[in-house]
Amino acid sequence: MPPRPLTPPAACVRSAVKRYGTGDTAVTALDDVTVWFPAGSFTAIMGPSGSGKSTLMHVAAGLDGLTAGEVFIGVDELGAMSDNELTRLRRDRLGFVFQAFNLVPTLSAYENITLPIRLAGRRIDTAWVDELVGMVGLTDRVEHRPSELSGGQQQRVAVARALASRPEIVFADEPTGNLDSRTGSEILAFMRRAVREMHQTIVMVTHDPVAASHADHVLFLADGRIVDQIDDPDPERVLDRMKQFGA
Amino acid sequence: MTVHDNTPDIVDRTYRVGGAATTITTTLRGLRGQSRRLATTALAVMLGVAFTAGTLVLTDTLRESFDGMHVDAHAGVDLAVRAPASFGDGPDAVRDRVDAELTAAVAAVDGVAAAAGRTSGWAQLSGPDGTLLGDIASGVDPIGENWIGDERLDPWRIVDGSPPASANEVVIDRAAATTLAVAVGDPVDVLALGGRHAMTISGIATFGDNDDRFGTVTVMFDEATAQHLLGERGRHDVVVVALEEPAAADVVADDIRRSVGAAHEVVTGATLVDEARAVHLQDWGFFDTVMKGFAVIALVVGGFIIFNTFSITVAQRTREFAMLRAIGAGRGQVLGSVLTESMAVGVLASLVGLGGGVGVSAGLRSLFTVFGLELPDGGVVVRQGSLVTAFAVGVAITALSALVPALRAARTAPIAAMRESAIETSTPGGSAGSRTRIATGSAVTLAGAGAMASGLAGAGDDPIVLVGLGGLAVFGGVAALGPVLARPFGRLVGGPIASIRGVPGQLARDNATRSPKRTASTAAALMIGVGLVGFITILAASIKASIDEMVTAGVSADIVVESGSFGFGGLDRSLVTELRSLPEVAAVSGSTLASAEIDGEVSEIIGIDSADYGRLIDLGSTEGSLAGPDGTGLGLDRMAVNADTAAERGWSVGSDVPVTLADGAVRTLTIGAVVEDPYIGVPPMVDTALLESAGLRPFDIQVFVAAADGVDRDTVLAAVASVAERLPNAAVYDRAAFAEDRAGLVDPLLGVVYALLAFAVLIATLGIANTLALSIMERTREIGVLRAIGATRAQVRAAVRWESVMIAGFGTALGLVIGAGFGWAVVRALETEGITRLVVPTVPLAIVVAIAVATGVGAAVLPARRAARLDVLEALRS
Repeated sequence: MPPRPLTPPAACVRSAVKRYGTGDTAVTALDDVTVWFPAGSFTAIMGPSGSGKSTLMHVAAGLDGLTAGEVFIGVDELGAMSDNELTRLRRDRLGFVFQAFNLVPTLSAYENITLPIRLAGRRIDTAWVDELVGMVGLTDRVEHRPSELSGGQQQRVAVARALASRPEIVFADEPTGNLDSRTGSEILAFMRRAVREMHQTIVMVTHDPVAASHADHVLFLADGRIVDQIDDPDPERVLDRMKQFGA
Repeated sequence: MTVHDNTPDIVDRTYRVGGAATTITTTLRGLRGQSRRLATTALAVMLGVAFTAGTLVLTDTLRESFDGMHVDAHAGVDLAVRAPASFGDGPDAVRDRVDAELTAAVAAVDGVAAAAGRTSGWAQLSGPDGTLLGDIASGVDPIGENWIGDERLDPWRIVDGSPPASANEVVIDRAAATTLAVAVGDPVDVLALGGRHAMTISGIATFGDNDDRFGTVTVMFDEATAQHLLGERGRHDVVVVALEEPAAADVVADDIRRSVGAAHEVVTGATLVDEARAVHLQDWGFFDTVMKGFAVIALVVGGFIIFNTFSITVAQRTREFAMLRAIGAGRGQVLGSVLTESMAVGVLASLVGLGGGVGVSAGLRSLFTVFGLELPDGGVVVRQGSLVTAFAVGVAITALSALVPALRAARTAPIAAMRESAIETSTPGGSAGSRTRIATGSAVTLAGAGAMASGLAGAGDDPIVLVGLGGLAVFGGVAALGPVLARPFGRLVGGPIASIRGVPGQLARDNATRSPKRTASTAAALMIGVGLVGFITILAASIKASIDEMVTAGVSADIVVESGSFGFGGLDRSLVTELRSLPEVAAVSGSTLASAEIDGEVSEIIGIDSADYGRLIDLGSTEGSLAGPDGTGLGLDRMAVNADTAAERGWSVGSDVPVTLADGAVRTLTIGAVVEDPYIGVPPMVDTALLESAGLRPFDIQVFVAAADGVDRDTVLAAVASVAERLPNAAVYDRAAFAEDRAGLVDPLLGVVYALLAFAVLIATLGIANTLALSIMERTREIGVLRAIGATRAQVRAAVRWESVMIAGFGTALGLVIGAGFGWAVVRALETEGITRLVVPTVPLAIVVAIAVATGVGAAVLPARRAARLDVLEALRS
């Protein structure tokens, strides 16, 4: 577990329990998990299939509710929020990168990037968006539709979109899962840069030790519990730790 | 939720592909899996079939009850003796009355059990408060008859009181007694020849077991009174005969002929029934055609929806078909699978639709009642042939609509299994496919327009059918052009929507233009309904304006007294005499309809008070004179015709023309005047006195009045009204109000047509809802992303709603353009029929647009709700 921060964490999950189904068929996806995501850090969540890592991200991002426990974004508890409040929270304070098909196919890259801002009806900070577009190297492709972009380019658009509204946290769910390793590491490099240069907070779920090694901290989940943590990871140590799950 | 990506199912199904039986197995499993997406297809088929079956059942029922009515009306009548036809054939024959003495002569013939004279005519009951029973415009005829009271000859039975025993007693049917809340001994007024008569109810009767005779209102007098008030003293319309041995009819008929002489015609009761039935069929043939036309419209609109649903589902299942192909399914098997699926839907939905048809027929019946058109009562008749027709048409339309999508499915390349399925594909403008489409669509549209034009010009055996098929072809052609037009339309309308509604507006626009084919074929269903509504609206407005113009320009009378009788009954002739005596009045003429054989041709003629008529109706420049040199009119030996008729028949002023009237005598009439007749289109005119001299006892349908010099309109109106007051069926109008009343005659029919077209719009709405639901299913993941990154439910709903509005707007725009085109063409074609004005009414058309757009909003309600309620996580995983 990361050290208890001196400044308030960007997000915090406390005593979280998530159970699906009832009775004999009930599955416990999260079993009393407590975790902080420090502001300005890059956290990777790892674990074998069914460990609860995706569920942890979903509840932390307000995409799914808890059976018991609390989730905070900043100082705001999500449990009491209505669907509309959660939607506004995601729109205004969070960013998302998914594994694939992240983009709205009818909109251009630029429109996709600015979509959350426009959904909120806010003014687009064009200088900032241009800077992001430059950073992800899409300056001359912003008018293209997703179908005219490669998988890597699409994912860069997704990252730019996640950052465009200057969210408190970006949640990334297997952002490199559908990419070859070279393209994947580009994406990770952008995310790394966002944390280092813009003090962005990023939480990433991944099963790829190389991807995880770009993070500041790696949390390991198994059977719905946090079982380990590695700070300043490198791929070998992450891989070694993962291998223990198989044993 | 979706079943397609359910891998075990696909694998299971692929194993089963092999023979026909297994194809059906896969089909049925496919059906089960897609029950939701096929639900609206099934609904469209169901509605189409229900409407078809409903119209067929209704027309069967009406025909049956008409038949029953005519059989019952002549129940017990084995033979009838009447005057031979003066002119005309069969059911259209016009004949004189017979002398009352004939009855006794016929009764004396051996084998005759009973004989009675029958006289019938117009007689209208008026309640104590002036309520009139019966309304000819609604099909409820007010009929007067003599009371026969012989159960061998007719089914009328007294249930209370006694037969009429004097000239001021009547028997009325029980339905009328109930409506008027009168009983035996109560006073009642009867309008008939001679005006209003105060009568006493001596009895109340039923027609067999029925309270009335098939929805008509009947009042019965004693024989002499009936002759006096309905026909002619001492004469009957016909003598009806019941035989001791009905089987011996031929023998007895010959005996009667020998006994009463060749001057009479003896026919069987069956002939009377056949003639009455034939007259009715002439009247209802148009009704039949209209109803079948609407059934076709409902099926075509349904066809678009079926086509659309199968197109979309086939596209969505590309991978599945490719998988089947990859593991060895032949094209024929894939084709068979999709076709079988459509047939299964067609069969099931058509069966359900048949059941609904009976309900629809009842609904249609009450629809006509709501708009004031009474249909006769009678048990619902469901003929097997009609059911088979409706069922077969439903299945055939379904199979036909599914054919193109099925062929597309069969063409799926096995390699498509490996690709990301390109679901909402589109053909960019300018490609070869698009060029073919433009060429085909334009060709079909033009061919349809050509067919309509030649139909409107009266070409072919059945011009109406040609116009109808041409119209369908135009709709088809424009529907084919739809995908080419969808994007420009989307840009045109979507821009403003996007700028007003922000992101949801932009998403709506982009989604609506994403698959122009899909948008276009969805919109096409609405296009048909809106096109026809637009057309009818323009046509009706043009007809009304033309009638108004015709009346305003053609009627110079200040006041018109209208009977609303359309030729059966009307205003007693004494009204004209009384009005003429008013000091406020300068000129009066009645106008009545009759028929005559003029120089070998049967023609409608009008009887007028010819001395004054020319001052009341603007007949334009006249050769000769209607009023005659001495101002006494046409008299008994002259007639007037309009210039068109004169030119056609080669007559001019002074020509002698042989004319036969109902009495059968041939008179030689001289053409006294040839009128230009620029406005009204009058038939040949004779003086009403001539008709009276031929034994006709005419009523005036209208009476025209001109005010004396210096008398203002209100004064003369009041004077006329005070005289006409004694006739409850007289409505007194000034000229403008009369024009309005005439134009208003279009309204009841218009109401029915709108209601029927609303049905087509309803089916189209289902189509839009269906397309949206299917599209949303495809875009589940996309919606999940939108929701995850912060689109609110309201924003998702708005996007779906506005997409729907755009589709509806597209259909509406196409429909209005076509409707305007049809309206223009038909109005132009009817110019010679007196439809001289083309009116494009903005307010009604704006209402049509508003309703169509509202339709879009309505269609979006459920799909939008489903889209907004999608679970974000599940949507992201799909």
